[in-house]
Amino acid sequence: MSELPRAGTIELRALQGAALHDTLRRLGLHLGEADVLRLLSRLERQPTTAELALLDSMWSEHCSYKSTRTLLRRLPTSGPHVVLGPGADAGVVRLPRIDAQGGVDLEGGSHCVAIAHESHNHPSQLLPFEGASTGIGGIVRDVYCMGADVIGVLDALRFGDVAGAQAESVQQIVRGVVDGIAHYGNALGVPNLGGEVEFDAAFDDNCLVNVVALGVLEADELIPSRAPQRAGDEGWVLLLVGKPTDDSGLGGASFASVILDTDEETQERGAVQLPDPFFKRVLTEANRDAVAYLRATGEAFAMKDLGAAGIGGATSEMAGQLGLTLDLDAVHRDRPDRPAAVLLVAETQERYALAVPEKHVGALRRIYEEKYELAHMVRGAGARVVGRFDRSGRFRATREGALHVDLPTAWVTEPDTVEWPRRARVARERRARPRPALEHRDLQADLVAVLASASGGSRRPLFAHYDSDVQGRTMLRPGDADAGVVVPWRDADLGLAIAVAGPARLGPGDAWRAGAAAVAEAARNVAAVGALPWALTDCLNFGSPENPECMHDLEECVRGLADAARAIALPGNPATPLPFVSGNVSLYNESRAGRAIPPTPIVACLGVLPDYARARGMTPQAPGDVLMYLASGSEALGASLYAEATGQHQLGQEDELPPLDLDLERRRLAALLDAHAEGMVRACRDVGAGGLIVTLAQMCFGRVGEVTCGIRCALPASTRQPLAALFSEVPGFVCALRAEDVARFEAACAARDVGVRRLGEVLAAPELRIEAAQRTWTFELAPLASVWLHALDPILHEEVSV
Amino acid sequence: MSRIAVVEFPGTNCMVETAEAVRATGARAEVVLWNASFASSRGFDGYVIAGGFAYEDRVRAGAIAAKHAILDAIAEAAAAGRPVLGVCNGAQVLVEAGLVPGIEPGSVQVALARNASEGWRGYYCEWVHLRADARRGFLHALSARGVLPMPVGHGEGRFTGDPEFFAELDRRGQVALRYVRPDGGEALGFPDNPNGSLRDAAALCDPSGCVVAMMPHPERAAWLFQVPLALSGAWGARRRQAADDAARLRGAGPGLALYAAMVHAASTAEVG
Repeated sequence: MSELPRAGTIELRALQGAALHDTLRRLGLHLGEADVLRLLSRLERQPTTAELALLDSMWSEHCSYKSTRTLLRRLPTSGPHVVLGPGADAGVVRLPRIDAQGGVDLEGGSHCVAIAHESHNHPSQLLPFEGASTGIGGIVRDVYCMGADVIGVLDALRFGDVAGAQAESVQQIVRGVVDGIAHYGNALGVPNLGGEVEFDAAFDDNCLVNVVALGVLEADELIPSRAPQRAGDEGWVLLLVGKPTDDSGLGGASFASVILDTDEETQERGAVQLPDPFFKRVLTEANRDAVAYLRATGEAFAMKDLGAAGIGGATSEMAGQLGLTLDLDAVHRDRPDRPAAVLLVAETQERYALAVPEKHVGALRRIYEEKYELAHMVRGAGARVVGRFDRSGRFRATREGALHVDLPTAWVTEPDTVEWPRRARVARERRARPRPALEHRDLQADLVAVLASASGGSRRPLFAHYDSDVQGRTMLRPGDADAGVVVPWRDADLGLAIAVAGPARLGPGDAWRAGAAAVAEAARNVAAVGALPWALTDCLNFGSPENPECMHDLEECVRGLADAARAIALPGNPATPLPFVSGNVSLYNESRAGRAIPPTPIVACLGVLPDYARARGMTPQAPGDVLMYLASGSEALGASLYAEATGQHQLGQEDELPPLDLDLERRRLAALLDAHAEGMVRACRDVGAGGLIVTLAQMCFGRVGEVTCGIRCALPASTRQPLAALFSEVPGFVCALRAEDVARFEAACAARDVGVRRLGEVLAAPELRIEAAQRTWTFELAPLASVWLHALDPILHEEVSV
Repeated sequence: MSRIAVVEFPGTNCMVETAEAVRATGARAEVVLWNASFASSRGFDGYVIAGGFAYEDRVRAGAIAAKHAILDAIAEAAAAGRPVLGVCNGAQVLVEAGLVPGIEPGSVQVALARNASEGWRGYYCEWVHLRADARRGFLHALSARGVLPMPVGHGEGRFTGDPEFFAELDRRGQVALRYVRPDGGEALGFPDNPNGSLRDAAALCDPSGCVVAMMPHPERAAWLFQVPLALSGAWGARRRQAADDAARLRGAGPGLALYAAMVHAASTAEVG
């Protein structure tokens, strides 16, 4: 290669300070000056355009985690069942082997789950449909490329205030994002297993679209993403498969790291990628065939999806310690004249790279190009050899007889970390305050206000746009229970539960709480259906790390995540933290005006059901069943949906938060899982947004708002303010049991030192009866169900003309 | 053992679970790709065109897939009295190929249009309740089975056309499956009828009843564990009673009967 002339370089070495800054911006680069100066001092020559484009993406926050890498090491990531922790495209955990007595062997099983979690926030703010759609497209690729079958996706969304100052644009974003998620997942044929949505004016300028995908594979099917060492010897090539490379998504990675500004939005729309779930469907089938062929050869191979930084990003990471020379002339592309830099970093969707021995290329190309006719699906699509591995440790790219990239591979993939300064915030003062106003409020009016609010209403108008049944594995759908449940294998009793959770209405300064609460809630969600919390993933959505207070929030949040994962631990293994096996950080979620989103960690929890037959939904099974309440008696209304939906903003901001005791969380999960294992639990629900009363109402509504039962709920005599007790979002569960199991259930709770209280019963009559010391309220549930079911209609349903 | 072809077009995404449901009835299921030759795609005892988004619904859903040579093999089988089932996107293909309703074979006589219901916009995924009303063909045997719940998942599933023509189809017994209330009573608009189909049609068949185009997904209701816990009606009650019994949950759901009926017809059809 060294005999090839070097492609044209950019004069940067003489520049510094403002001149360097201006030149970089004029070139459309977002690289920091310090990064460039460090590059120049090591490079000892001027860089080429393609090198700058590559490093601009690879050294961006999005690809390199340079601001957070050190911090993220504080999260627990290992465990006896962890096959692959964070760092790969997806994390992989082994599922337990269940012995004949129902015992759980952590390491004995061969079934594995691959799980990945990412954000597509900035693209979705600019082009909601394409942004959300490629969010799903990207996350499923991360799981497919591990050798797994994708069996579900989830999405956690944050939108602005649908009735606020930017109502019109917020509503457009909501519709676009929902349509985008539906468009991609439905056509690809991957069921949507759940998610969560919150609305808050703090997200007016920065919506959040976090996506999770999970897949299943056998332990011996895991495909590495790094080329094996022997690929450095003669005869290993890089096979690029999929769509022809174009200029879409150009600079997407660095784009995601730039603060959004409405003035620049139009220019930056070129950076958004274009979704093609149809092509991905065909490509997935072709990959399955190709992988089966390669496995049958018995040879090692590697595979990686093309995401951020396109060909350059994926292939440099595949090369690892090896060398790789890309022949960009050989890249199949939409137009012959694409320059080297575009071919190298464009983020054209629906592409994968494989590292394989050259002798298998003919057979592989026949699978992609003849059997599955890729070029008939999208003109110019196919499978081409575009690079060769060697032992040089250098990453090179040639185009039209010139050397465009020639860098040590490690420079590309391992930029230096950045340590931003941190500064603690002046903590928000929250404390219990006298709340005389509550005494005069009308419970019914307040309940209606909460159920009719965007954050309190049914999510069905969103998730009924998503296919939750395709693949035929779904047992509990979104809205049936706190977690989605699937039956991945017909020949095993194992079931999987999956849920995502994140904070709502907490502000800056509550970052530890946000992290800890997200882990606790996600774990509660899967335990509610009867599943053992097994692994976590996270996506940390924050403002700029260059803001010291924001960086402090980030650090506090990570501490909260770690504290909760250690405290809650693997069921039955209190010394083994729940591991984070995959994750993502999304920074710079702020407008140019400097308005940052509140700290928003989103946590997904994977749960394992030793026997899927024991999975329980939230709907009570029979009148007469007894309702038990596993929660502390809190009347705190800080950060409550109640305060927000009834316009009592000061109450939400200043009142104390309900208690969160992480040790109690572990014991309570253990008690509940004991009761599930004994078959005592007939229905269960995590106490969520809106507190106890909304939780009870939703247990009666079911997924589709058809009220099947009623509930009688008696508040204890010690209750000071019934409204506060009913709407406080205290962590805990409501369980329905047969009356004859109550004593056994209480014993199970006592054995774990968990407080439990008999709340009331399931009624045949469709009414909610609340009994307090002073008075009793009785609400008809059907009208409440209607209010709840249609709360989001005005946002999502335009009238259709028949 | 009957050999059933499960047809996969580019964009089909339900072939795995469809083939699994067919196998569960005792037949052999083979996934056949769109570009299989006429010679290799003919001769099966029955055909299922699985759901998905063939050719990403370019032009109209099903329009491009309907032009493939494999449809000639399917038409040949149908003419010989072998059963053909199109599910969801497969139904759209059969309609576009002129095999359903097939009064004038080869001509497109009805449409599967965008869902149009008061109160819902676009793609809709939810469980619905069906009653078999076919007077002939393999679904006729199901008319005694009562209400069959199963999910729909589509954006273009509204059977529509000339209302007079639909009345005629109904008189001829070609509205093979109908959306009904959970108790079997007549559908009262959305959500009983999820898409606004004329005559509450969930499936139409050809005059012989051999070729059925249905929008709901029986393979997503083939096992009891797939039935929603809170579903009304007899199947919901069965699901709740089996709450602790893995063997029963793994057993047949309401949708398997459709594949069983089809496979039965395949094994008894006269070889043409």
